[in-house]
Amino acid sequence: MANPEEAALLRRAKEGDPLALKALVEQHQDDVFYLALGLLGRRPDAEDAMQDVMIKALRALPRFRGDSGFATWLYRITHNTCRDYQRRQRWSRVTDSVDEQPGIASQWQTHDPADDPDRATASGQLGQELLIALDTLTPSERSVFVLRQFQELSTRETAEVLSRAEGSVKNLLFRAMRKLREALADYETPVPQKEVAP
Amino acid sequence: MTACRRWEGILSEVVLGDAEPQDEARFLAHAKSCAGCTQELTAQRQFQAQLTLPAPSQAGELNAWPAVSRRLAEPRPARGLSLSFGLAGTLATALLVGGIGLGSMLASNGPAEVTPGLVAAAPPEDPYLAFLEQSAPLLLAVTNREVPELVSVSFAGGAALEAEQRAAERLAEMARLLLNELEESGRDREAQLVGELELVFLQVANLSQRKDPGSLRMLKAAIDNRGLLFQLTLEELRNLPPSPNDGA
Repeated sequence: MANPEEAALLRRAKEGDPLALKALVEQHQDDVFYLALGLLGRRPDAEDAMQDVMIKALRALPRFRGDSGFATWLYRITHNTCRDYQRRQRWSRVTDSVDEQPGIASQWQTHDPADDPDRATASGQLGQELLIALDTLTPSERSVFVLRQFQELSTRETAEVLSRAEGSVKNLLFRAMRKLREALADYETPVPQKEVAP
Repeated sequence: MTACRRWEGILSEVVLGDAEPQDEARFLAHAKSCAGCTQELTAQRQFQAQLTLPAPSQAGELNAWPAVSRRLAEPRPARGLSLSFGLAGTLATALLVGGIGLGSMLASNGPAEVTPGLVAAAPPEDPYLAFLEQSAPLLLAVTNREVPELVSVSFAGGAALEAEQRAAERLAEMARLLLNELEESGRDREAQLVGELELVFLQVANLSQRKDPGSLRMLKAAIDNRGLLFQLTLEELRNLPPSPNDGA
């Protein structure tokens, strides 16, 4: 449910107040962009998708009833928009050489490792490799992983965004984690044998 | 050694610290006597601890409002035929669930003639195989055409191509629905193939809107370059060895 401040902003935005519409975009653009980037992997696509999401959301705003939170609703639009983008990406992989396209790691530069020497080693490299490894997941696994890990949504919220059962979200997350762990095995340290503890 | 399938969902929740207390207690009690689950739990915990999530460098630098406000002021584009899948989705669902033939589906959904041999009876078993059965005649029909022929029938609005496009539109929707099921059950390889077929069908369904020889040539060339889907016969598809996750 929206807090009173957000509810007031939404009410003004529904009435067409341009300042309220602008404020909504500015409040949520980073989250939408971050989610789109996790789902699509390339900054130009994520920027385009983010704009499309905002347009769709603002046009559909009069129909937003508040049954779910505004952010959840926005994530759902983002996810659906990105699925369309993913289909187009798959087609361009058929028509173009993938090798000619810049990889995800080059498009999503986090920070200069030299700025943070402690993280510039194995874990920093793992972060970049993780972005590449996301391409090994199915679209559904990727959606669940990005929403749970990047956006830090709960299982229930993720299920709501994806219109899936919570059990399905849990299973998809398990598969995503296992696939990514296997894809990134070179970056793991040996698994110590330790007692299972909560 | 692998984790027990029935505990998989809870295992990752335990790793993230989001499991319900009673679920976590039950799982940990099980894991004490299960080497596979213990190993997977340890490995996922270690992976989670190592996970370095990237923060987008663009955060805080984005300013979408100027472009968004400009686009909001523009007139809305007309919605394309190839995106209007509502009715087709319902029919495709009925097809998948009930095993109705594509021919009867097409025949009941409009006056256009259906090219003989374009449709196939749906086998009742695995929806994946049923989808391949449905796809094969259309794939063969399109691949057996040369680009000049495709161009001429596209410009002339030929009945054969129209029927193929109607079939392609429905097959694309079937593929989209089937993709969810396959991904849900971990049949990744099948999902990948169905995903690629979906793209092909979307392209075929969209041909008449473009009426553009360049697009037709690009489609044909892309598929030829890919050298995969359109060179496979149905028998070859059906003879693929089963995925390890089949039947899961």
